[in-house]
This record gives sequence, C-alpha cells and structure tokens, in this order.
Amino acid sequence: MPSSADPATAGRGRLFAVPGLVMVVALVVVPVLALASRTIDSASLFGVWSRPGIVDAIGFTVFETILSTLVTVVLGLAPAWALSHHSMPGHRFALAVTTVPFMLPTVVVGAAFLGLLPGSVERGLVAVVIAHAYFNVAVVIRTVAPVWATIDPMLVAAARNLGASRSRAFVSVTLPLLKPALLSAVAIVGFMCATSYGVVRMLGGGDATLEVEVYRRAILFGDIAGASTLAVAQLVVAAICLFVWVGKDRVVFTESGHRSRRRDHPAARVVAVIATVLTAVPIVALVLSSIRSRGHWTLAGWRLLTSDSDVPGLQVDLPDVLFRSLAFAAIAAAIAVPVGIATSTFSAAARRTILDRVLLLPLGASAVAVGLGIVITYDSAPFDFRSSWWLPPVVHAVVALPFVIRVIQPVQSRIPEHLRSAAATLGASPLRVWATVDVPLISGAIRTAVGLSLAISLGEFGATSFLTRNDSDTLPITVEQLLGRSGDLARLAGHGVAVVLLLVTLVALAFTTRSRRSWSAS
Amino acid sequence: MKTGTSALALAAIALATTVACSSDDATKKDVTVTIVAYESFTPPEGIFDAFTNETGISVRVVAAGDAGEMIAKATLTAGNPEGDVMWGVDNTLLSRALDADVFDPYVSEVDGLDPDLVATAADVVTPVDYGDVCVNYDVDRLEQLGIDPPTSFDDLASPEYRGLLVTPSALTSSTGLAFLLGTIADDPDGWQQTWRDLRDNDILVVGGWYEAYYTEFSRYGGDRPLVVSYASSPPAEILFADPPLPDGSSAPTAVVTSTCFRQIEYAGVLRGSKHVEEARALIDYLVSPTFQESMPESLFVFPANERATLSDIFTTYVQPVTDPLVMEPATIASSRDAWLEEWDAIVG
Amino acid sequence: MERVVIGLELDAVSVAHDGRTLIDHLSFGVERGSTTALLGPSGVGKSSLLRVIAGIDRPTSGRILLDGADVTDAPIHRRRIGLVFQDNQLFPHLSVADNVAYGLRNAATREARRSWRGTRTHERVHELLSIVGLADRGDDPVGILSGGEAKRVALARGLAPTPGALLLDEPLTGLDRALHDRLMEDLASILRTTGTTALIVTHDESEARFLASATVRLG
Repeated sequence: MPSSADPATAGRGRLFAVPGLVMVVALVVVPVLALASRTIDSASLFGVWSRPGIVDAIGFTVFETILSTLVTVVLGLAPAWALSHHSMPGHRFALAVTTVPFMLPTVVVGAAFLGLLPGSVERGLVAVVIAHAYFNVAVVIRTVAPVWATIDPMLVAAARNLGASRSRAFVSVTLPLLKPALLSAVAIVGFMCATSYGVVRMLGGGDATLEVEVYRRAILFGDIAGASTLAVAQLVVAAICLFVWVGKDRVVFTESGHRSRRRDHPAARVVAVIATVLTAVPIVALVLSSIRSRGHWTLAGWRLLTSDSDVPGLQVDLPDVLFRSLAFAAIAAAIAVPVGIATSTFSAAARRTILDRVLLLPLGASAVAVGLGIVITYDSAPFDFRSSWWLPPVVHAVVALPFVIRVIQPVQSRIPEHLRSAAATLGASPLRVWATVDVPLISGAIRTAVGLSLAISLGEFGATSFLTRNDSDTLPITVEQLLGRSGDLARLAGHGVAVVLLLVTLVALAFTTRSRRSWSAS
Repeated sequence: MKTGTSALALAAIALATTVACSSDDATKKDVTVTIVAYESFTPPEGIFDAFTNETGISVRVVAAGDAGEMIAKATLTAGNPEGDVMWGVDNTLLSRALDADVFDPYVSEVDGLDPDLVATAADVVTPVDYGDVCVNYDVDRLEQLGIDPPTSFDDLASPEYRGLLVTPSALTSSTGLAFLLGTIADDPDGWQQTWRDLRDNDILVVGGWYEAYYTEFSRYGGDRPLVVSYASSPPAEILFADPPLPDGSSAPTAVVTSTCFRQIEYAGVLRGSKHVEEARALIDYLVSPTFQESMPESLFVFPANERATLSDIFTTYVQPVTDPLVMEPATIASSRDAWLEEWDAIVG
Repeated sequence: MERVVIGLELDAVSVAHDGRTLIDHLSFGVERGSTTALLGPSGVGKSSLLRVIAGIDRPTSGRILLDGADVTDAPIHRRRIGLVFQDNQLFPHLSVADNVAYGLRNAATREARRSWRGTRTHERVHELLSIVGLADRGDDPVGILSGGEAKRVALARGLAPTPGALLLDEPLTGLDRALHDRLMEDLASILRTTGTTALIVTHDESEARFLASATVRLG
C-alpha cells in the first residue's frame, strides 16, 4: 500500500471535497462572520470580556470540557470493546439503545436523568459531567467499536506471547491502533461538551459555559454584539483546536482490512448488557412518564395524540408532525450521506483527514450565532432563504456530516488501492471505479450513516430552532411546545411525543445498523 | 468581507442548485400576510378563515424559538423582516424592539381594547393579551404540612416557608426574569434584600420553567410546594387533570396574587412589510372579540379586548389578579442588565 | 551415551474448537535445542494446537511442560513459549526494529528490563536483524515489507526474548519457490545457531525432512 498520495489520485479526489466544504462555509463560517461583521464594534470587541461571568464561563467551559471528554472516552471504551463483537446476540439492539441518548432532545432525557441522580450531585459540575458522558458515550462507541472490530485478536495475542501483560498489550498495541478513532471521538465529544447548552442550563446549577453566555448575551441581554464577539472567539478557538489536531494526526492503516474473526467473549456480553441497561434506565423513566399520572396508569396522553381530539391548547396533529420530521430527516440524510461519501473519497484518495476534521467545525460553533447568522446572511432576494422549508433539513445535514464521515471514512480507507487499480486497468472510468469498487464495499457503512443522519435530523434542536418555520412543527419542537404548558395532559402528551421521537430514532438506528455480513462477506 | 461575500455567493448558488424549488409561490392572486410568532403560538385551527372570507387576505404563520429569540432575530432583520406582523413581543422585550426600530407604528382602535394596556404600548404596537407570572402553590401539600398559603414576598422569605420555593433562573428563563421584575416592582429599593433573604431561606433556582414545574414542584413529584409559574396554571391543572377531577372540585393549585407580575404581549406591523394595509387589518382582527375569545384556552393568556367573553373554566378557576405588579417597558430596558448582574451576584 | 533432555513436552493434550474435538490425548516431546515438525493436512487442528501450547487457548485436558515444568496454567505472557504466526501479526504501528524490540521491552523482571533498555536492546535488535538478513531495514515501517521480509521480521521478533521454545505456524507457506528455498535454509541455520527448541507446523513432507530432526503426524 503506497504511503504517500499519488498525485493523479489526489487530483481526482479534490473535486469530491467541494460539496462538504461549501456546506460548512456557507452555513457555518459565513453566517457567524456575517453576524460578527454586522454587529461587532470596538466597544463590544473589548468590552464583553470584562462583563461579569465571562471569565468564569471560559474557565468552566475549559474545565468541564476536559473532564467530560476524559470521562466520556474512558467510560465509552468498555462498551465500545463489547460492541465490537458483532456476533453477539442483541448486538444491533444494544448499539441502537446506547446511541439513542445522543439523539434525543436534552430537555426530555435531561429531566428523566435529573430524577435519577442522587440529590447531592443533582446540580453542578458532577451532574454536568455525568450527563455529558451519558449523552455522548454513543460517539465513542460509534467511532471506536468499528475500528476495534478490525483489530485481529491474534495481534493482541502476539503481544501477549511476547511477554506483555494484559494491560501492557492494551496500552502498547490496542490503544495505538485505536488512536485515530479515539482522536476522532475526543474531537467530537470535546466539541459537543464545549458548546453544550441544554445540559449546562438544566444541570449546571449556576455554572455557565461560553455557549450559555452567548445565549444569555444575545437573547436575554439583547447584546448581540457581545454575543457575536464570544461566538467568533469560540469559532477561532475551535478552528485552532482542529488545526493542532490535524497536525498531530497520523492515519494508521491496519494490515488486515477485513473484520476480524472475533470469538464471542462472555465478558463482552456482560458489559454490553450493563451498558444497555444503564442507558435504558432514563429512557424507561421517560416512557413511564407518558403513561403514568398521579399514581395511576393512563393512556389519556396517548389518546390525545392518536385521536382527533379537540382539547383546547393541546391540539397535536401527530401524523402531520411525524411525517414532516421524517421528510426532513430523509432530506438531511439524502444530502449528508452522498456528501459524506464524497468527502471520504477525497480523504481516502489524498490519504489525509484534514477535510473531515474541518467538517467538524459546525459542532464547535455556537448554535445561537449560526442560527442568527443564517437569518441575516440569506435575507435578500434571490437568496432570501429565511423561511424556506428546506433550510432546516439542510442545516441538519451539516450537523450530521461529521458523523457520516466518521462511519464511512475508516471503512473506505481500508479498501486496498490495488482493487481500484484493477478496475481501472479493466477500462473503468474514475467514476465507474468509484461506483463499482468503493460503493459496494462501503454499502454497510452507508446504511449506518443513513441511520445516523436520520436520527440526528429527527432530534436536532440546536441552530435550527432559530430558523423560522412555515407552520411546520417537528417532533422535538412539539415536545417543547407541550412541555411548556401546565397540567397532567400537557405533560403526558409531551412525553408521549418524546416517546414517539424515541421510537422513530430507535427504528432508524436499528434497521440501518450494519449487519455482520456486509463487509466480511464482500 | 470581500472574500466572504464571494464565498457566500458561491455557497448560495450551490444551495440554490441543490434544492431547486422554494416554497414561495410566485402567483399571488390574493395577498398573503405573514405573522411571525414565537414557537408556542398555537391558535385554534381555522381561526383565520373568517378573516380571509371577509377580506380576501390569507394568513400564514411562521414561528421559531421563544419570544427572546424572536426579538433577537427581529432586531437583526429590522427593515427587512421575515413577515408582516409580529405576534408576541412582551413588555420585558418591547423596548429592545423599539430601540432597533423593528416596527412600523400602528395601534389598533378596535372597540373594547383595555386602555391601560394600550397606554403601555408606546403608540407603536397594539396590546393583544396579558398574563401574570406568579408564585403557585400545591394546595394539598401545604395543607398536609399545616402551613397557610403565603400572601407576600415577605412571607416567602420567612422561616415558615424555608426550602419550599423553586424558581427558574432569571438568567436563562423569561419566566424567571418576570418573577425577578415582580420583586423589583414590589420594592424598587429593597429588592436586593428580598433576594438575599430568599437565598438564605433556601430558594431553589433551576434552569427553566419545565424543571421547576415538572421536576421540583410537589404536584409533580418534587419536594417544593411553591413554584414560580403562571396565573393560568391552576385552570390548566383542572382542564388537563388526569385522572379528571370530579365536577365542582377546586383547583389543586392556586396562585399568590400579590406576587403576580403582569406580562403584556403586543402585536405590531413589521417595518419593511410590503402589505402594511393588510397587516393593519390583521392586527385589528387579532384584537377583535372573535380572535380574542379563542386565546385563553389555546394560549393560556387573557384577552386584551375587554369585550371578549371568557369561558367557564377561566371565570370559575382563575383567581382575579386585581392589583398586579407592573413595570414600564422603558424602565425595564434601562435597568434590566444591571439588575440581572446584581441578581446573579446575590443568587449565583 | 548422552541423555535426551526434553525441552517441550505434551502430555495427553486434547484440543477442541467450537465444541468439536480436534486433537484427542496427544503426547510427544521435543528434544531441547532441536526442531520437531508437526505434519498433517489442513483442518486437523495444527494451528489450534499451537495456540493451545502458546497459551492463547486452553486445552480441554492434558498438560504442557517446558523444560520439565508444568506450564499448562501459566498465563500466556509468562510461559516463555514464542509463536510465529502464519500471518506474522506484525504490529502495524511500529517500525521493524520496534517490532523486534517489543518482546525485549516486556522482560519479566524490573532488573532485566533495565538491562535490556537502551544500547543493549539496540544491540540485540541489530544482532537479530543481522541474523535474519535485514540489518539495514530497522527503521522501515512494516507496511512496506515483502512477504519474505515480513516473515523474517516475525522470526526475529519471536527469537528476541530467547523463548524456552518457539512455535512456527507454516512459516514457509505462500512464498515463491526461490524465496521458499532460501528462507528454508536460513531458518534451519538460524534455529541451529540460536539453539532454539522449535516446533514447526507444516503440511509439506520435504520441508519437514529438511528442517526437523523428528516428526509428529496428525490426522
């Protein structure tokens, strides 16, 4: 396998990088900078830093991010190992369940979660870190497990045979091979925790992240200039982090590209069961809260959602909302997956991962600033997209993109170059090579990517909550609406819609999780 | 921003070609007026049919975020608005919209509009509804504890009510902000001491209304029988009770009327609208008895038009708030930031 | 007459895979410092047996002895029975030299580790790479090695910590004729020079005759 890029290959790949870059630039970088150039003056540029709370927020953000990321990655390793055993019964189910928290609206799962925390840690740093770990552990599992599955257990046996203890074999062989996946996970989890809004607002107990400060300044204080200053600083720091990250990154191509034969380890089952149960507890609490009221079992909330009820103030056209959410999700996936494949093709051809790291930038940007920025950037004809129906799903696609890439890229980078060369010598054009070699070999990964994009779009509640929608509520917005009202029925129905969201997400994830055969059989 | 602009154009073209069609239909036989509203604006289905039949004007509602997010966007798009009419800017936010010159002044002269409410509208917008943010209490739980319902802010700070109250944070919730403003309106010079006392009396400050009401309030399994919520919460507790309450039972929760802070919501014509006349007609309709009577049960707010009749639920179960705490939008605008910082220093 | 000293001994060892018994009560010994070939068609469990001897898997019954000591229950990293995998299993993230040094750096005691560290490790790696004819390739990544070179690195890596016995799983399979013959001669001489007790799995009679002083047949 050649270790450096073949110029012709890299040239071919360059075109593939365009759509992803355009999306991130158009929907994240330009909006944030446009917002900044429209609002920032020298007073806010320097003044905002002396506002009370800003320094604390920066300190808390840094500390909370490091701690949360560390805890998440360490806690995620055990289930990632367990779920790299594809032959395990219930594997797909466990993978889907452990991914669900990442996709659900924070307020809903957060509340269920709050009910389960012991009173002493209910609010503050510990609660925030635990919640971040709970929500983001899926990222570690999703990025690390597929790579772990390709590490031949015999390679670890070779290390042990050469005198390495279990722990030394892990540190000196397994970890280095997992490193690219771990770096990916750290980058995503780090960004998610650094820009955390919902969790910190709900569980922070007075402590605020920079993202919460941006929200406060823009929305509560009406100081959009100050908010923009913070948002640009946040974006710059995120970009620097990515740059440093890229510099340190080295892609390791493991010798065996195939998914290794891995015997079903009994401990893996135990770990998988524990992880699934722990993840499921708040989810079960959520389901219960849609059918239990004042010590009674009740289907009143579900009746309200499923019949053509006319309870004033609680009118929910569930089929309509569900259809719209699914349509948005389908559009988001239809954009994110092809663009993700193109980006991975570029990375594979160029043997570089700079681009897929740059496409992480949306996760490190302030959702408030992106949302407001989009509104002012695309505000004049013929580019007045502000209330275009397609804008939310396109933004969903930008959010889903880094995850799609992380699913597809590791698999695609393992396709031996000689397969492509073989196809080319048989007269296939580059596009045909791509269609006949790359695509079939990554079909399993594509299915997973579709599932993840669907799920991310279904639950997205960040930047898109700022985008004006034309009389078009989605599932998470309906949840917010219902849970903003008082009364048992409002609560039951709100949690009912959250359960619908949960079920749709689970189905999307379970039906698209790679089955065991796809890669090894090909 | 030269490079930014060209990149933007490029991006825009890319977007335009990715998704070829937009929902804006070019063929407009009749005028469509767009209402920009906050997310929880959920008027009954078909409520605009009468207006359309009468005037030939169609109505479209676009919504996003809460009122604060809506205003943030409106100030950024002043003069080039996302619609023609804005619904739901309230007295805590109005001055921000006025400063940014968001509205084309119009005050409806429909019969029956409460003149006191109109007086707060700075001759720029029209009041459409009002509601009160008040301390609610769990009637049964207080009875079990053998404690009388509190009647004032001072009560809340007294030892008898120690550890009983939960409120959303003024820094992250508009409900929390309204409660803070209420304490300030109640005692403009001594509110800081009120809050020090509340803090020392173990008040629980949480992120948002949802956590306060649905996780900490004793009616929903929490251990705090006093919660900062709305005057309309008790009727909702009856209307939406499950299992349903027997006929004639009293509301399971009630409000401490002396703590009520009045939030007034306004509608206005957005500056830059191309349908000013139609927008004004729509605002007249929004404050007409037809529309106003639909609001209490769909939006849980009270009509600004005194001629609108309230349904039984509201006349029976809503405690009249005769003397709410009020504050001029201009006062709120000039001091809000300083108050919030002071409040944060006391409670944070 | 000189007494035969047994280096590696199997005593009634049974091996099962997926619940199927592959090897039933097999007993034999390998004379210390000599090479024995394990012959048999594919699928009879030769590789499974090597994994059991190395300690990666457990036998269903029987004992394994190294230099007279029962190592059946010794953990894999302490039993000092090296294994050269059929597919080499070189560490892809390490250079050729670091692959060879890997076992040296795992030396069981702190003292041994200290003494191997630094120049002594370096010297030992150089010595081993010289033996397998790759003295100037130490800094190369293993990804660019040819099949024969990779096999030599695997061999050097297995020999480096001076194991009590070395197991080789089809070490010459899949190489072209010329390479096969050259490596076979090299292998014989390396095992002889280092005085290693070796057990070589093969399905090739001529290979067995050339490399080994004794033969065990399976299947």
